[in-house]
Amino acid sequence: MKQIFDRLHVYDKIRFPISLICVVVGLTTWSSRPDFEPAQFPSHGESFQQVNDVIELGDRSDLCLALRERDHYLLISGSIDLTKIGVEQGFFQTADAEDGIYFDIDSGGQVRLGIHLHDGTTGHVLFRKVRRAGLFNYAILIGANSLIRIVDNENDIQIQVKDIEPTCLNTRIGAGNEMDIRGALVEANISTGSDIAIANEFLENYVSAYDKSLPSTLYKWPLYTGMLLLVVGNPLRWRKK
Amino acid sequence: MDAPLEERQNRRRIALAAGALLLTMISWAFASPLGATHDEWFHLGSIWCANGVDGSECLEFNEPNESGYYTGIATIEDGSCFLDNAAEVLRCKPTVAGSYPANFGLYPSSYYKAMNLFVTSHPTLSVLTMRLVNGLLALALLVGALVLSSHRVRLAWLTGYVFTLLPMTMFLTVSVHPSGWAVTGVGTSWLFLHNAISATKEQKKKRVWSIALWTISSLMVFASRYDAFIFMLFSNFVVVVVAFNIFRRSQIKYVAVTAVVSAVALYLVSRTNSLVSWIFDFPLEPIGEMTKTSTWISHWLVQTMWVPIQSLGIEDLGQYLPGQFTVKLPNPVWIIGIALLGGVMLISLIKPSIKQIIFLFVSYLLIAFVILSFNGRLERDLFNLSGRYVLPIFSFTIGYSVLLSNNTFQIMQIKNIRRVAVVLLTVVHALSIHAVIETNVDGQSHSVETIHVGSDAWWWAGLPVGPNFVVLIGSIAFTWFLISVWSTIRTVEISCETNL
Repeated sequence: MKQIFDRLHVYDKIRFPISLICVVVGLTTWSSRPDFEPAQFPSHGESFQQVNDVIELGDRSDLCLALRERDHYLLISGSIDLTKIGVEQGFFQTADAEDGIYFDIDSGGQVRLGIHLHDGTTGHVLFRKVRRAGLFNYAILIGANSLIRIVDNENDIQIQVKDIEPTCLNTRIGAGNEMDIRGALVEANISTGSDIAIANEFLENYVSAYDKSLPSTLYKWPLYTGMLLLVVGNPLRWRKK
Repeated sequence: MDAPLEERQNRRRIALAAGALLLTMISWAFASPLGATHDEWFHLGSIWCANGVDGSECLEFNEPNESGYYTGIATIEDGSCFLDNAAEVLRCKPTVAGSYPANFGLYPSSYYKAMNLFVTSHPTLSVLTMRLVNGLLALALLVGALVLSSHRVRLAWLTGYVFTLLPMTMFLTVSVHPSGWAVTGVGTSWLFLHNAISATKEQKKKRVWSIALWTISSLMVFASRYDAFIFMLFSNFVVVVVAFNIFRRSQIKYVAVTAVVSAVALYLVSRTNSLVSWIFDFPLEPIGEMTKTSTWISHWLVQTMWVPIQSLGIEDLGQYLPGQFTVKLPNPVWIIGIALLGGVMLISLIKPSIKQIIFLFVSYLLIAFVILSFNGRLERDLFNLSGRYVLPIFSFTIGYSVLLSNNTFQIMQIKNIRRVAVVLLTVVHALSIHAVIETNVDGQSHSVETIHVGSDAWWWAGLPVGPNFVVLIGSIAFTWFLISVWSTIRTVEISCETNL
């Protein structure tokens, strides 16, 4: 046994070259990764791109009508480019005074969906917390069965709320929950359909495609191994002591 | 073991400890985004506008607004983007000029001017550089302290430093907060002064180095915070009194002269600087609905010990602002921290000296004075007073108390307890750095799971390493630091007769 350990001490001599090689390989792999091309959410229905002013769509009761038929759905997807955080902003709404569906962010960075319920209250779905300015994608699927699914690049949440009953009397892109947008850019695709299973499959395809498009993290194996070898030192030498 | 051999071995151990601490400090430098420490946006604004409007770093400098602060227009916030890497999910955004509160007479300007040397067009890299420079300065003084000190002094200083280090001292040392320099400067200046005084005629080199490093550490204090002057004056005064053995020689006249000179110096500074006079201007008459005077004073006299202790992890790190978080540390951090510090003090008091008792009493009074001074301006608030206000004096109080102890051994000289202490401090450090990073990445920290990096990404976007790896490397490095640095201190065999 002693001989085996003695022979293993050769490790001490090659530890630094091995560490160095691992670190160099890791950094080279890291720096030579291809550019990240995120999978885009497929376009569907009507497209809107809010840049400066609020887009006024007015009475769009046809959207809310879809939520009264069995298996029907309303799908809203797109992206939001936040230029600043720490301020309340509304992204879109279908009616004033919480009578419809709205999507907004509070001053703490909480993004949330609000939807009017049959009992007159508003159901909330807390979506994600944003801590820095930048772009994020979203897709909101609202089923006539009151099942709400929200998907983005890292979350996929489903919430069953009580009976929904939103109105769509004043649909606006770039405003929501009685707040206008403040510097953010909103893109939205809105569609309705009669088979929610198709919409769910649509979302799953997107999630799968996005996961595949994420940058490789394989470089971490050699990089981390090399750095750990350097920092941990030689446990065999401790034993010898 | 012969002395030269032991000295050579100690140099190697100190070098290893310094390398390990550097790696630990690098991990802490990466642990928080811009704006993480208390009032950091004020300090960042002050750094960028340290030289006034220059058309590049500071675009405008304006009169105080409704918040009462001067403001500067500068391009600082860039989402903490380290490198713009096209392969990453998160890309850097162009920096946008914004308005930041900035210093104009509130703090000494030298710290900000020194940090301004590292301002570049890349704010995140600039702040990282500043943090690392501050860490390196502290590290250089630590190496100086270890190399220049005798075994006994090194033991005392190291005890004061290590047992008050986590987490706030470490957090501030590697930051762009002036308190970092105040803590580093006050925490080392007394030691260099002591070494300079105690060096023999044959130790000329040691004396010269000690004086040089004392000058640097003192300048750091003067450049950082006005209130830190008091702590430096106090610590240096104590060292002079004890080193010259003034009380035993009954040379009260020296004490009196030094006290008078210090008082005159303070008076002169207070005449030219409103902030120094502010410290001595106690609001003895309550204003508005302030707590009544007897409640205020007696509360803080009782609570005095509590204020510095908060820096052991009771107090949250940082400041809550939209988009950022204060770091609530796990309770074991302060429980272990207080337990270890209690052990240090108890062992040092097994056989106390009269000097030690007087020193602890006077230190308590000083800290109480400073707390009352600060708290008086904070509307006599009985619940909120940050430990960072008295942090610079904390390590000195512990270290010098150990130095004055008559006990023949100290806690870290007991081999088995040293092992336990190193393990516990390793745990405290790991929990602290994990909590800091997880909170900054994830918004909260309630566990010790792997840190989840969401699409908001790791704060330092573009780095090849992630937050979990930074925690791991920092934790291993800190353990190495503890093992190496304490191996420069000899252990003793404890028996019933040890103190006889």
